Amino acid sequence: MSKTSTKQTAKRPEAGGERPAAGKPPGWRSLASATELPPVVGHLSRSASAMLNGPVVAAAYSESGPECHATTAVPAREEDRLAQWLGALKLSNPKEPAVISLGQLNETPATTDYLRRLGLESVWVWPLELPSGTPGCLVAVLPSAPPSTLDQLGPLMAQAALAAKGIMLSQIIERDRTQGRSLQAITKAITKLLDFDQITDTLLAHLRRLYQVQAAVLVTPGTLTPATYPVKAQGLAVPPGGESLPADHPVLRRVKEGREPFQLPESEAQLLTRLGMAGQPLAAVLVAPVTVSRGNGFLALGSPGPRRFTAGEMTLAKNIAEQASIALTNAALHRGLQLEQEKLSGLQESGTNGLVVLNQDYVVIATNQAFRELTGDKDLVGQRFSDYWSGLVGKRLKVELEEPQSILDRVKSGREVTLYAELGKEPDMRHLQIIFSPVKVGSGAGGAVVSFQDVTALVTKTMEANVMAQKAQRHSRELSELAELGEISSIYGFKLATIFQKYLSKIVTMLESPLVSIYLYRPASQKLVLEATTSNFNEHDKKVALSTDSAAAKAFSTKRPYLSNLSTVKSKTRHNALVVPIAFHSKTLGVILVSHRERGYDEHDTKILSLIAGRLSVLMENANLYHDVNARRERWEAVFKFTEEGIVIFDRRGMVVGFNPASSRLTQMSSSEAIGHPFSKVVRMVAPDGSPVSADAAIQQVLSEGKTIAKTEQLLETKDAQQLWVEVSYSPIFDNVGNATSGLAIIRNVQKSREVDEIKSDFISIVSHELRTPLSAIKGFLSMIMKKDFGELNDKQFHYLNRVNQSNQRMVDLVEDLLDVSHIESGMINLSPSPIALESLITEVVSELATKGFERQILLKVNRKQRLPLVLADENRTRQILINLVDNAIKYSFPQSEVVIDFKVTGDELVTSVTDSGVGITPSQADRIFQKFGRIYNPMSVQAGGSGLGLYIVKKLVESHGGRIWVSGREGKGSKFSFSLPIARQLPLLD
Amino acid sequence: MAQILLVEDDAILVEMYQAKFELEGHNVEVATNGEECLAILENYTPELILLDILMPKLNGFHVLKEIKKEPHLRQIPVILLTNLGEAEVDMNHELATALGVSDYLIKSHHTPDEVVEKVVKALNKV
Repeated sequence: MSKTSTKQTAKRPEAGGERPAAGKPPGWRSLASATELPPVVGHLSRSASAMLNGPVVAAAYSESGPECHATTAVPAREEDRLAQWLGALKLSNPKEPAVISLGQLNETPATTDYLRRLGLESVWVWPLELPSGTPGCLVAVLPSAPPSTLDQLGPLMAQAALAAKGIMLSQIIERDRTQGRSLQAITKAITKLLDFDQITDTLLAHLRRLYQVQAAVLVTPGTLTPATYPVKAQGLAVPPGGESLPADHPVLRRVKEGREPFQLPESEAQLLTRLGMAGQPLAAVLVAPVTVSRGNGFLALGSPGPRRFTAGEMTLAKNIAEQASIALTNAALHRGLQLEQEKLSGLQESGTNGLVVLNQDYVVIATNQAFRELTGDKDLVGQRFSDYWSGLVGKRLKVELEEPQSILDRVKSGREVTLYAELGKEPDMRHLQIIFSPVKVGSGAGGAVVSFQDVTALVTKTMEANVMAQKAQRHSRELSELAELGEISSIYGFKLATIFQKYLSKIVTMLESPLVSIYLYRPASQKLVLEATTSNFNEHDKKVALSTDSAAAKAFSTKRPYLSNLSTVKSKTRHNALVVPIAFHSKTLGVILVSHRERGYDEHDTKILSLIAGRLSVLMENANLYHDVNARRERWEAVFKFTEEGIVIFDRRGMVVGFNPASSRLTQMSSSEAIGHPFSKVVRMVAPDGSPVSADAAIQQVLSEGKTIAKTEQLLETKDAQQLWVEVSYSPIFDNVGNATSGLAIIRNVQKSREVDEIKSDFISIVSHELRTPLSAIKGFLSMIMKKDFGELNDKQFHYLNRVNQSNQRMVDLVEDLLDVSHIESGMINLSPSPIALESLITEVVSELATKGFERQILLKVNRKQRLPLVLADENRTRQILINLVDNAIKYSFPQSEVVIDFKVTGDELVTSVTDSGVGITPSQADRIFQKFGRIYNPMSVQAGGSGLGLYIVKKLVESHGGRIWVSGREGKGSKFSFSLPIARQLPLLD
Repeated sequence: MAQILLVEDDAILVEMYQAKFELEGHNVEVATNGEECLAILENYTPELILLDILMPKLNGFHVLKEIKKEPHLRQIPVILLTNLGEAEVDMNHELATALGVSDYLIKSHHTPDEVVEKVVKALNKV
């Protein structure tokens, strides 16, 4: 279609020629003068609507998509949806104007229906040929109309198309001019600059402004590491990790294929964003390849919304990319040069590494101080490095790769070469790391720098570390062996013989020493006796006396390991030997001996063997303790089981936790009925009338106060309601910090002895009464006869009657004593204590016994230095005590001696002593003297007579007052009987 | 010269005390058990009673109680003359004091002379 034809007539494809236009459509003039597209499209829409008498939608499309549209006779609310439809409308570049029915449009049925509902039926497309190749078009969407009417529309379309094309062309021309100016401006801006980064910044800023895009990105080959492609971006956030693209990035691969810019398909627009260039996702991306120092990179421009970059924009991008390539390559070269310069000067100043700088012919141009100090080589400048190297390697330097040329060849090809070498000889040998680095000057090779680093310290450390590692490995092996030793006890318990064997075999492995023996000390023989050994041929002695100076004896006596390498362990063997003591705290139990014919032992072996010995000692001690505890437990169990006394153990809550068979027999309760039940429910105490007496108070006292409660007689009620007299005592059991955590009760059956006692006292009481009556008669008649109530008596008669009377009196006294004893023992003794004065009492007693003393020529003397305090006692019984003691003293004194009574206040007691100078007593007699019938037989006592009950009664009486009685003195030197009575602190209140 | 009632079951002791008291010029009536004692007291009022405790039929304490019930006997001094030990007497001490005994004597401790002495002392008190 030519421009001329469309200008004059609107030629319809089919029927245009047959029906000439009926004249210029309305608004023609306005179309011709229009400079912008919207009035053109509006005119088309309005005119067509008027002609067809229906709704019309008109639109203009340029190469980059819909430019504008207008609607007529369409509801305003449909405007947006129609605009959306127009934007997405795909037209297959018609070459000729054509009317297309809705059905031919490839629209969805819903869209077709929608358009039909609006009254739209067909689309008239009028192509517009534009210079950039991609055509634009004018579109009119029309209502249903007869073909004849449509034909009349032809001229209108043609007019409108002509006007639109003119407007679009002038816009393109204007744009090209603008672009040309832009390219010029950019080129000018960037060629002024030498710095790579400044160029990039300026370029990207210009591009964003020029193309009205959100993001501008430059990706160029890395200058230092060519494999990566640093990303410079504006208007796009580059997160950590996204600072460079990998060489195999799809976009980079594509830019290598050609120089032409291209738009990434929308599906691929995310390729850049996906690399981590976060921010808004890009929908339209223009990519223009750039080349920097022969490496490929690209410029990318991106918009978040859909956009089609025009051919003009592509061309401009290509031009800008070319300009940018030149400017960036220059800048890169410039930067490379700068870096090389910096490197060189840096090397020169570097303090620790020795440096040699070579020019491109590998002639030394500089060395630094550190190099001269390290090698001692001066005046190297001007020498060929390969010559120097050959001389060095031959004499002082040991290196694996020696050929200088091969090294330099590799450097020349741009690679860095690293060598390790040894300089000098031990002990001054230095370990060196030598690095050959190529230096690039511009695009060509610029020589090299050789750095010599002294890594002696590092190497030494590494070697030391290796040695340490080996040691550590050995130690960890030893530790695990030791740990296994620990397990032996858990496997074999306390079977020492087995444990010894296991230890022997462990020691054999750990010390790599086949001959091992364990000796144990036997205190009886003062010898170390071989207890277990791996030796089969008597290499180790069976017994070692401590007195010898053998290694074993020394180690044992000093309690220290004894190391004897190639010494005189035994002349026949001459083994190296190591002996360590098996010691538990301060106790040495024995020794372990290892020996070897060749191998010597060191400190480490000593340590290991000592550790093993330590473990063994613990094990042995545990075994001993175990056996000991076991034996104790067995003994205790035997006592617990077989004792006649009931033993009941209770815990802190008063619950029974131990109950022996005797307890079972006493209470008639089985062990299972007792264990876990409260003590007072198991051991039930009752009063004689059968009412319960709780043991709770006693148990509480034992547990909370840790008190022992002495034996008391109590009535126990058995399970089958029998009553039994028992003697119970309670005692706390303390834990190792002294808290009473439990307690025990010991219960003894005293029923039988009580019954026996009762029978005995009944017997004594009855007999006494029956004896008293005849004795009274004898006594009475005798006294009357001797008083001569019945006539005179001759001397002989009187004398013998007196003898009868004396004998009778002895019998009377004996009966009295027996009665007292029976009363005391049956608990029938009744005391009425009150504060009494001993002074008057002793005066009474002395006067009563004075006659008797006088008869024996014995002086009774009362020593009283001060006023005596009152004592709390029963007066009659106290008198009885005093009479008894003084009477005894008189009886057992030698004639013409003194019996002295004195007093002493001790604390809250008054001690009364009666001292005689008679036969005295021995300590062994002192124990017996207060026992029942515990009379001592000596010449005096035979003469003195007496029942042998007196002191027993006195003791019981004193004790029932809360006092004590004791005797001191020596045989032949008299004796001193003392007793104490409590002092009455306060007179009882009279109320 | 006093009228004394001796209550004692042992014939030998009766003979002994009777002999002694009569030697001393006193008149002694004898009862050999408690019942007999009370029977005698129905027709006879002594000046002093010497009373044994352990006797057949009715013991001394019972007799003592009966005596103390009778207004015309109540004032007669009673001396317990017994062979019970002091402890037994102690046990009944309260009873004995409550019943107003003048004294109690243990036969084997006191000679007949001493008993006479105590009796004279008690009679003098009245």
